Amino acid sequence: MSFTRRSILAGGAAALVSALPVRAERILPATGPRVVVLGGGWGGLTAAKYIRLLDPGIEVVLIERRAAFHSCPISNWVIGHLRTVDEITHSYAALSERHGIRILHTEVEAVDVDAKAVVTADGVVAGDRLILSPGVAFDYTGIDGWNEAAARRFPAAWSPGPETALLRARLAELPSGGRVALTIPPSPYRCPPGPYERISLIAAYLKQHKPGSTITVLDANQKIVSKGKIFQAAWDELYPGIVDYRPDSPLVQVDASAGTVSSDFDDVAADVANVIPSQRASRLLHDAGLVPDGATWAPVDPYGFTSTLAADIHIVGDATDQTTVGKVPKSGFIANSMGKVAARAAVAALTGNEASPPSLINTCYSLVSPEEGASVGAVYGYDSETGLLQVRPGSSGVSSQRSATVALQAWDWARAIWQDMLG
Amino acid sequence: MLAAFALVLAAPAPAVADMSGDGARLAAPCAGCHGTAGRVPEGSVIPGLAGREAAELASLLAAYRSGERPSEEMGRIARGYDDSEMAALAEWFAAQPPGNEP
Repeated sequence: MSFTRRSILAGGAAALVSALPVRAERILPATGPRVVVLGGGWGGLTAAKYIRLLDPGIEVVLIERRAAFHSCPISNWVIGHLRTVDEITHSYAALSERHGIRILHTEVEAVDVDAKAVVTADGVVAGDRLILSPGVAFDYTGIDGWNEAAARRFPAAWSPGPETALLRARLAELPSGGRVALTIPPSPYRCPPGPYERISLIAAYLKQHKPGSTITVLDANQKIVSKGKIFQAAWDELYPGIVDYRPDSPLVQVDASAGTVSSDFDDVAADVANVIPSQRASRLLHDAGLVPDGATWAPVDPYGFTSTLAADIHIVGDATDQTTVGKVPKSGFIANSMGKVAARAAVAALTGNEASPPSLINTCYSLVSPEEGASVGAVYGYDSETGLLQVRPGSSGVSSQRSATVALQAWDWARAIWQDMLG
Repeated sequence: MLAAFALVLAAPAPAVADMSGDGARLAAPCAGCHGTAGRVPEGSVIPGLAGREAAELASLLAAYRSGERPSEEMGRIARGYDDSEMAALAEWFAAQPPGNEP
């Protein structure tokens, strides 16, 4: 077993923190060609299922910490009291029962690039190829006053789970005339329209249930990152006097005991505050040397989503570097599309066939109120001159106005794509 | 540790015809709204595509692309494909067993 120095250090440090034993022995010996998929989120699930659809002769081991799937898309609807936590929580069972995927629920300590293996708390799982979909890590550096108390007071709720339920509950406990604050990190971050959908649904909840309450937004970006005209119009027309949106206002300081979040210009006191932090590729990718020193995201060749820094390793999802992929958003839909491209490329490589050119779609639905929404989307192909994904001419667009049709479609979109990943 | 693995049962995998060709490659991302192999979940307002006539699907795509058929999403999506890609998409979805996914 050849560990890099970096991965040994990373695994050791993580083991101390989590107090889990790291067993170095190999487990689950392969009986044939095998792909190991790290991460049971949007990119990893799709890759795992589509490898089995493409070639049932290839063994797939999926490694995921959580016992059930929690959906990041639609989690804003839970925070806004339109849906429940149960409705965004789904079983992984069909992937093993219907598709024969071996699922290992355990903590991942490191990725061993040279051995093409994932080091887990239960042992080391090796394959012929790896598909890594570990998602994003949150980065609170540069925020004065950030500490454990601040983390409790200002949850991110940007990965679905306990913080989603916490933010929902805090809104329910807010008195009338209460003050909510929300801060948005610099782009790129996971789900470009996500913060603005959240603002809208919180505002709708305040309007209906907490009269006199307001939500103040400190956005690090110079303007609304996605669907700007539609969100702005919705806030002006549906929530006048409720949404106070302040662009170009990066979060620089918090005070957990006073409950304030501050930009260089304003101190915003809040009863409930949601700090969505800056984001970067998962620590696992940095520790494994799959992100260059000083960089934030993992570079890949989008033809098959292979790492540009290691052989036989694919990386998909939000952790990938848009400067090497092309200008695709960090969305669940794109992660799903990436997973399919990586699955085809991995199967082609394992069966001695030529890889085929990538073809991807994005569609992002956002609600602006419980009744209305808007969508944005595009089709992407591969441009051989630049080596990047490029929007197919004419295929990029955003809704001209908010509509009830999109709100209806959004829920059925979620049902369809959950089924495509998990069913 | 063994208990952490779900058992591999003999439950049937969904029938998906011809995953290897160009139609499957182009159609794969459509599943993000229309379900795996064009089979949507029961009761969806988004239509299923599996097992429909290829000529019908091709003419719908062309009408979305030209704007003759108004839409929220499909106009821009259809503009992402040329005639031969539309034909490959239509033929691939037509060849899939119809029905709903669970």
